[in-house]
Amino acid sequence: MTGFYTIFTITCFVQVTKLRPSFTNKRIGMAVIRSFSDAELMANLQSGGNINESIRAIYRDHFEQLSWFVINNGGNRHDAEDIFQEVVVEFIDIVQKNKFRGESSIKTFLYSMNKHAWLNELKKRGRATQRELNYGKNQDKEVMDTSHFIVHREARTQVIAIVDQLGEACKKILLMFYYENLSMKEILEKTKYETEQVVRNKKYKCLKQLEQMLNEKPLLKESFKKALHG
Amino acid sequence: MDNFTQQQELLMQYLDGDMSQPEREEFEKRLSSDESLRLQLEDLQTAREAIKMYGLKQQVAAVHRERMEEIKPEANVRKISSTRRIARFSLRVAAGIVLVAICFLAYNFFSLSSGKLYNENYNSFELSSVRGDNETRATEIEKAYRKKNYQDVIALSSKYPGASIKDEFLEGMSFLELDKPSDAIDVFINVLIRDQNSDHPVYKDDAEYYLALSYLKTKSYEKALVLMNAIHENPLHIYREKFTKGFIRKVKMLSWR
Repeated sequence: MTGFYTIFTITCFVQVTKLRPSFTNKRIGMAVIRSFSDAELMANLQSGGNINESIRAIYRDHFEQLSWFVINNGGNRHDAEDIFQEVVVEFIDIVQKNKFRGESSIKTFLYSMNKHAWLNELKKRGRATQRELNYGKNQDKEVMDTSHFIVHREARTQVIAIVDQLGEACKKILLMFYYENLSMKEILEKTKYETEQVVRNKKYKCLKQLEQMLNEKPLLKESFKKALHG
Repeated sequence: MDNFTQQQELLMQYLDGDMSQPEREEFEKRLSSDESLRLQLEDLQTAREAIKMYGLKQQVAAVHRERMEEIKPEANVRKISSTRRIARFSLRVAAGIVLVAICFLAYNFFSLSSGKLYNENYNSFELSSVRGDNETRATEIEKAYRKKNYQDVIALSSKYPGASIKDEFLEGMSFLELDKPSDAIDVFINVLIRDQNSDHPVYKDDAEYYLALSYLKTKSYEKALVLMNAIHENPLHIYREKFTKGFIRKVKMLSWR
């Protein structure tokens, strides 16, 4: 019995010492992220300058707070990450197309988008409770209504999945030309193609291939077009 | 170059902004009058926008991965206000205290034993001695008990079955001293019966107290508790202070095991 008591006492002591505050878990030396005002952030996103720094700032300033909305409303950490990533993509697209005119702060706008995206996702999963749906409706009157930006989120997600089905060479050349805005000469330098004309032909074939893939899903294509012009 | 190829070439040039101003204006005139051409252009524009959306998604995803990698190790150490930090710290301290208390109670619970409680409470019964009296009027049993010859007490008791209540009580005490509580129980019960029927009951309190301890020693907790509670609740009982609420609680704990 004495042995048992000794083991028991040691176990209790170990458990108690485990309860000490875990402040030491904080990471030291994390990369410093620049801070931007709303106006600077908007300018960066529109011009494409400092875009990675701007995305990092958005994550640092808003991710934790917005993820708690998802976690506190039936989601988990993984859901919160996915929704926030989607919201950031959509937000940058909105800014780049001059659809965000600064009627509210970026924080309020992102919060609203995050909320609508998550409620939309819950509806899609058939899990939205009446309380959550009412919450969504009531909040619209008080804060920025961004629900119309979220309407076509499913179409955008599916179109992104279709682009991902292109071959790696096609994705690379199309991204360099249409997303990174590189010239044919710059693309030639970054690839193994012989001439600019070869690059041009390849780019044309790849775009036509994507066009064909989208044409095979006419409903999705129309929905995506509405999202572009909505 | 056939017409179709030429038309495709023009569509790509227009889409990519590779036309001069006059060429652009000329092509836009054609677009306004040619529905089919306009739809072809829309499809190409849709494909281009899909690429842009994909590129943006990739770029955000890269930063996302980088940020999540940095955040994850400290997922539970989010930026929190000082109030919440104090609240959390207090909760941790409280949890620590509760755990220590639980450990303490659990240790006491598991380290309890009937023998330990018995030894905690037991005192040998001392015979009162009146000078000049004990040597003359004391029985053989009393004399043996005073000398702590407990075996002799038991032997003498069996030799003289008609012994007094006092002698029989001393027999019970001798059984207890010799760690034979089961035998002591029978004797004490008999003492209590005899004492109750006597004209001058004087051993009731002693017999009840030692009977309760005998029950404790034999792990007859229910019987022990009935007696202990009765003794504790009787303000005139001479052993009332021996069975405190704390002591009775410990016996109850033993009965749960």
